[in-house]
Amino acid sequence: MMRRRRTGTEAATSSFNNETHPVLEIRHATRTHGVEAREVVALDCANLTVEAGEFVAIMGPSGSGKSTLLNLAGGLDVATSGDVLVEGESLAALSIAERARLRRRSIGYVFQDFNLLPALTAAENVAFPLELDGWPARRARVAAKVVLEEVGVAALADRRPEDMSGGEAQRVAIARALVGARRLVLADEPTGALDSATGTAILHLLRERADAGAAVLMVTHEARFAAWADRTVFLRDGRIADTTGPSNADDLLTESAR
Amino acid sequence: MEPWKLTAAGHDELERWWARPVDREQRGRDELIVKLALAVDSPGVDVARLIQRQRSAMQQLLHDVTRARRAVLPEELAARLVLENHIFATEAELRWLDAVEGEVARARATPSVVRDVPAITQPSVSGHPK
Repeated sequence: MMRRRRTGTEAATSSFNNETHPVLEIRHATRTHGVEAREVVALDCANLTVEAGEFVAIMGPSGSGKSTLLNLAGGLDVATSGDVLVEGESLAALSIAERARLRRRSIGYVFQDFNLLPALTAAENVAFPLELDGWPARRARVAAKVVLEEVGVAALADRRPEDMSGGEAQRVAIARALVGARRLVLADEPTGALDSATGTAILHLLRERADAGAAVLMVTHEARFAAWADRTVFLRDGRIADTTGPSNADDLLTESAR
Repeated sequence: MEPWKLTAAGHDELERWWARPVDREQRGRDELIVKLALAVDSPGVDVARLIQRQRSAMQQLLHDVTRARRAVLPEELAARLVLENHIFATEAELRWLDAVEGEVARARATPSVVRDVPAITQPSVSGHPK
């Protein structure tokens, strides 16, 4: 008799407090560019909620609004109408400085090309957002090393990005996205620059972080990686066209494969 | 006590079976391929919606198989291979749907060639190109 490995929230070792409100709420968000005849609707009345411990994938063709949605979720852009709430705070109601502070404290970004600062070591890169937020350098470095340990790259702490593989650099970037107990991780094609096996390892890590209580929103064009999420949301022409997730038939599939 | 034993002829057949590639000829009769081939030429069928419904269903299958694959233990090699086959096959079919959608959109954008929508080709999951 084969044993069944625990998956999803069964295996979660929560490192976050349980909250009742969603980490991310996008309410009727529309983003347009240009005016009148030249108006382009990048996102059209989108609604999306991501709870703590939930992993949501966004898919869609080029120009469907994926990046716009991610930028609105991260406070890098502002909706023309509608609202975006992060941990219950409306981004539209915040000043630019307040929004920047919320981004530093609550939101972590993971990019396709890692975006690590080349002159800094892994530990310094991870500590950097904390130091920007006013943490004393020593305390920030300690926190950075804890997160590097959690994502399995503690040994890289003193290494610079040029001396890392793509997979290692992306793990460091994920550590940077999580440091300071930020609960919303926004990943934009995080496997785009990686080979399939390394991409799978990164998805494993994002899945683990969601299982530990983070809210993860990932844009990807790879269906196999979107399938690691709890839901896949399809965007088309700026609108949410469809949402799908597992049917809970996995036990049957596993048994049939054995 | 052994419940059964291969005969010499059985051994020969087994050897031939191992040596022979698996025939994929029947894939062309796949219901999805037939349905889409008919849909692009049938008036009143919303092909884009049909494709999106199919894409959603297949993505759901991919979620299920991926969950099952994650639950497989490292030592369960055969189970892993079977589930990965499902993942590759589903992924290939999803890519094929993307290609169909693109071809249909291009054909629709050029009214003069609507009747000449290219023949839908099956996904190259494995086996020989047609």
